[in-house]
Amino acid sequence: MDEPEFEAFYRATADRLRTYLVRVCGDRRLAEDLAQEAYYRFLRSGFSRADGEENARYLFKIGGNLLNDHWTEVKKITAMPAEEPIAGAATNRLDVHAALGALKPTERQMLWLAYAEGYSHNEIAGALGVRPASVRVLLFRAKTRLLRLLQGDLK
Amino acid sequence: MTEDDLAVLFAESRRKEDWPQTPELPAQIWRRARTAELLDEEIRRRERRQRPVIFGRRAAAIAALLGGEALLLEALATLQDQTLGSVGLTPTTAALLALVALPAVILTVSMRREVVPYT
Repeated sequence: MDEPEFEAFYRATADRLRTYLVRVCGDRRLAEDLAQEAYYRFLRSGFSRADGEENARYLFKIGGNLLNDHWTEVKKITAMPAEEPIAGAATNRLDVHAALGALKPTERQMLWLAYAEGYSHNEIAGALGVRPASVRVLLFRAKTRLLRLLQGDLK
Repeated sequence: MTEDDLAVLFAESRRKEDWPQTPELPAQIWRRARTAELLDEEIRRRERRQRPVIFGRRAAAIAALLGGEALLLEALATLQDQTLGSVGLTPTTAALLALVALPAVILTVSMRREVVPYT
């Protein structure tokens, strides 16, 4: 991948990656730092496919691994702070954000990859390093918990 | 809530997230990665250049060790009749001791050389 190709790839994926990371870790500054590191490692890996989505999936995998490394390093998984509702701007984004904050990090990752990124079970398994058969069960549990939280939110 | 509803909810959540745009950032990341790549290439090139020297040094060390051992054995052979019998050493024991002595001395000297600068 040469420099112009990388810039185009960056422009196409940067916001997606940062949003994924911030939805999982709840810290915008950390998400930005990890996104930069993910792009750097992506370049250093030499991974480059003609299919842009395949490159994006690999990038997301690196981002997820960096998050895991970060959590291992700080020896704790920080709870995602719930966003303060803005008066007159109660949106689904806030509901989803707050509900995700109450889930486990792996559940957040799975749900985000499945519903925001449209990943298949196999692709989620590849990104998170779990067995495809486990994804179906874990995703179902995560979705059930999320729906319960969202419905509780709406009451 | 259906799967489609969830997908819409997540898509909306993603769409509404605002991030600061820093146009120079991809170029900076590219340069950082390229610099690291060039550095790695240079290190690998140096290692490749040094490989024959390292190999030559090891070969010379082995040759020197074998030569030293041969000398020791030869010296032992001349001493054998006069001295060894008087100190109660069999020729085999004396030969084994001689073979072990030289590497032991070399190891001790090289370890001292490594340790002394830090003491």
